[in-house]
Amino acid sequence: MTAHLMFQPDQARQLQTCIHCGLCLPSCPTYMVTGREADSPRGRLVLMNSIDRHEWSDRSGHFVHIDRCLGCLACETACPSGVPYGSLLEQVRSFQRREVTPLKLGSRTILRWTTAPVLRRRLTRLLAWLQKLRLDRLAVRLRLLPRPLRMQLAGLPKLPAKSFTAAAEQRFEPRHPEGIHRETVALFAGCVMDSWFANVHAATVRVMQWNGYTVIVPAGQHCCGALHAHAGIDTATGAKGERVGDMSAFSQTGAAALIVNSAGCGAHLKHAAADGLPQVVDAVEWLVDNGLLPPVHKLPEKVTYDAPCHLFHAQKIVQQPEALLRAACENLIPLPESEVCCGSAGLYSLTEPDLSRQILGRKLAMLEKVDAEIVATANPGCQMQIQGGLKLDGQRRQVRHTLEILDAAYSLDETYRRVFAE
Amino acid sequence: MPLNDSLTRRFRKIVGRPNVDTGTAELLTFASDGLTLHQAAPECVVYPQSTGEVAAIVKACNRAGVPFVARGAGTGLSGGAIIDGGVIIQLSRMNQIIYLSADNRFAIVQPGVVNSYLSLQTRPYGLEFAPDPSSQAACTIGGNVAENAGGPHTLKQGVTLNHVLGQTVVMADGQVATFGGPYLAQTGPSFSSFLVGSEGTLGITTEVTVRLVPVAAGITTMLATFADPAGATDSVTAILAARILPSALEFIDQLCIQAVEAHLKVGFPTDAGAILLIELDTDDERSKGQAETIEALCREHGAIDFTLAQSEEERQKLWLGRKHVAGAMGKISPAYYTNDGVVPRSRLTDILQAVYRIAGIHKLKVANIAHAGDGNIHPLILFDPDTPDGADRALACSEDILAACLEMGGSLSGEHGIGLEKREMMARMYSGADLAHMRRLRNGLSPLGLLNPCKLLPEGARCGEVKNGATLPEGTWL
Repeated sequence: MTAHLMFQPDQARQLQTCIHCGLCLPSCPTYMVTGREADSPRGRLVLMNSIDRHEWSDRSGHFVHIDRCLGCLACETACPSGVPYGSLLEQVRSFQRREVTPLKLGSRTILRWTTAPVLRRRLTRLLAWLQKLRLDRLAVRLRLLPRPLRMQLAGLPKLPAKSFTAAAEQRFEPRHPEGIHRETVALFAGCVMDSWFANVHAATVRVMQWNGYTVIVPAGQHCCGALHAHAGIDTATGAKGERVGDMSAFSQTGAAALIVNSAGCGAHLKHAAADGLPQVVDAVEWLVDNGLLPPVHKLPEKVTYDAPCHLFHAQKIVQQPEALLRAACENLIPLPESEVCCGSAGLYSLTEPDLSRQILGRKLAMLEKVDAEIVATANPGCQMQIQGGLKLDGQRRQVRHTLEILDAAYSLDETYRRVFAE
Repeated sequence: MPLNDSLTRRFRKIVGRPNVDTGTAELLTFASDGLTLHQAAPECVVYPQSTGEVAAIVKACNRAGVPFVARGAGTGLSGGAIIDGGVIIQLSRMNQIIYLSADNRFAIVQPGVVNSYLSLQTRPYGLEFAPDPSSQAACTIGGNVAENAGGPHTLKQGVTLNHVLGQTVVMADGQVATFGGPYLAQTGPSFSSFLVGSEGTLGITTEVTVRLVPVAAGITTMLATFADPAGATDSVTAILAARILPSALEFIDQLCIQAVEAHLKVGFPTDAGAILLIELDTDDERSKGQAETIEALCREHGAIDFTLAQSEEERQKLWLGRKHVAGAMGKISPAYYTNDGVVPRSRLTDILQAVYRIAGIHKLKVANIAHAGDGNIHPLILFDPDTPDGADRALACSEDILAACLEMGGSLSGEHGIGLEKREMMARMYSGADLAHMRRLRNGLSPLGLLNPCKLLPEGARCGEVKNGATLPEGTWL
């Protein structure tokens, strides 16, 4: 019997389901860039196994390649034997943080300033002030910051005056054009989404109302902890006073579904959410699967869709975004390699800037080939990464959340505009 | 023997520092290809990007007397792309389609181009690369050439050999040679053909001119269900005897069906003893008649159900199921070994019975798929690598199956190659004179024996010598 260093026996068995066929290789964004077996899912599983079996005393070389993994899970889609790569990776990362190398200070700082409520409020005020004085543009143009940070700054949306959630629970009544009332759903606001993408939440609520749903936005919401889990940080012990992963705000809502409009949070909550919570459903998935009210007018702009990995690969939500966009847009143009990662991947663009840039470069090259004015996606990280990349690349295209596009299509109808102007 | 520093320094000069790996972790991941039974790590991995760089690397290896092997995606199933010590020349970054002539139906590609990617790029021109091994989503053209890869659709279209027109090759001594060209009719003997299927022992292909064939205008896909596997194999013989040449004719047995359905749900009948997946590359009046004949023949041999795929989606699903059979084995067994024997197709029923019998003797489970039209069987021998003799029993079982194939007038490998695992069996298939000539060819082209040593031919002592570092014969021109 071999002693296992980090895997439980059942996880070690799951690792053995890899038959080394190599079908995952061409789907892996880092393998696409480096062509190196160790930077492929198959290679990383070999390394995980080696670490687990304690084959080498010096494992730093192994972890270099684990660190380079985006966690995009394209390999899970490609795998014919169903290796649960994502959960194995999380286990390895958590082992790494505990036993090998703690998360770097820079990453820890960024995590705290984006997910802890008080710090995030301060950061948001600082950034909004920079935007107001146009100092952000100056910093980008004069290259005053390292490239990864400049890109984030360039990709930042225009920051709203205040976050979407309020001190008290908000309730939005259905506004179906024919007066139909459907289920009550609760909206998960998240951390970065709540502060920086309040307009996406507003659009989400409007389209939900228009489709006949009652939307509750509970107060006292917290970060779901997806970024922490991907980085290998145990939120239960690590985040003092931040209440990361605390979903108690939703336990008493009695809602039919917990609606999430950020792919990364949705993927994490679907497999990590505690009992007693409403069923976690992606917003687009919910709308399309329950019958979408088709917009009267379609958006005339040319739109293309870049699938967030945590929607496509982690949640297997493949058809719904396309169905929604087809209903909302006159010109939906297919994007080659839409399901390949853009290189954002949480903190990845900051921890592995070179690889992230090369992976983004491939995405931008694909976008350049496609004649589209708007790029639709459904995750804040992807949205900022692609928008920042496009700006620095000199491509004048807007990146929008899928639901903002649906909201815009509905808004072409006067009734919709009037109802929500009130 | 640690690789000498001057050689790695030389490599770094040739391809640049980041393109040479010597770290423990990186080397560990190259210890096996698609066959995990053999594990042996290289001492160095080099990533060239051009023919010139490959040639310079090969020359450096020659000068240092260090063995080397070329590798693509590492999907091979005979241990052909591993080396015990020495150098792996990793071609994954040579992945460009250099030239495409739709009018003349050929493309010039680098060896690291992925098989299905090539067809994806040529399909807008109504053309595709015909060989379609099950690993086509990952395997590379260089590896297809080295192993003379097949696939379901090679029944009608032929194997890789029939689709390679020319090659640029870095020979074992580092010289660059070009054989063949973009046209079918060529002058002189076809040297390119010698290289196809030589498993990377005669040279390293750095550019391949491949033939492209028109994409079928219409497709008819049929699924025949049998209670008894023998009925399925008898039908194969009957269909081909009726002078119908389907574009694919695949056999899948019960254990495979159940493994796939447990995981993918493509619509295979889980209670069937076996199914045949039959495809015609037309959907006109004539194919309608042929499909009727095929159905009649299948029913005559005991088919309990016979359906036609009604949509492209349904068709794709059936093929997805077929291509994922091997992968699905990971779900039902911690390890398996793929046999690649060939028999004359009239002996399919006999060999299948023999396979089940032999597996029973070795107390092992076996799941069967076969490119039935080619008589190429792929018994997947399931075993547990954690039991002390698990792997040995699987190998012994496979050897007995191959012996049965040879007895029926068949061969050792349909498409996976001989590699490491079956080279000692070559003496059972070929006469001493046959092998002597193969060895003369190899020794003539690779006199130092550094290029992919220990593979393909039974070598005996010579292989051990290479492993301990070859010495340079005097007067060798480098």
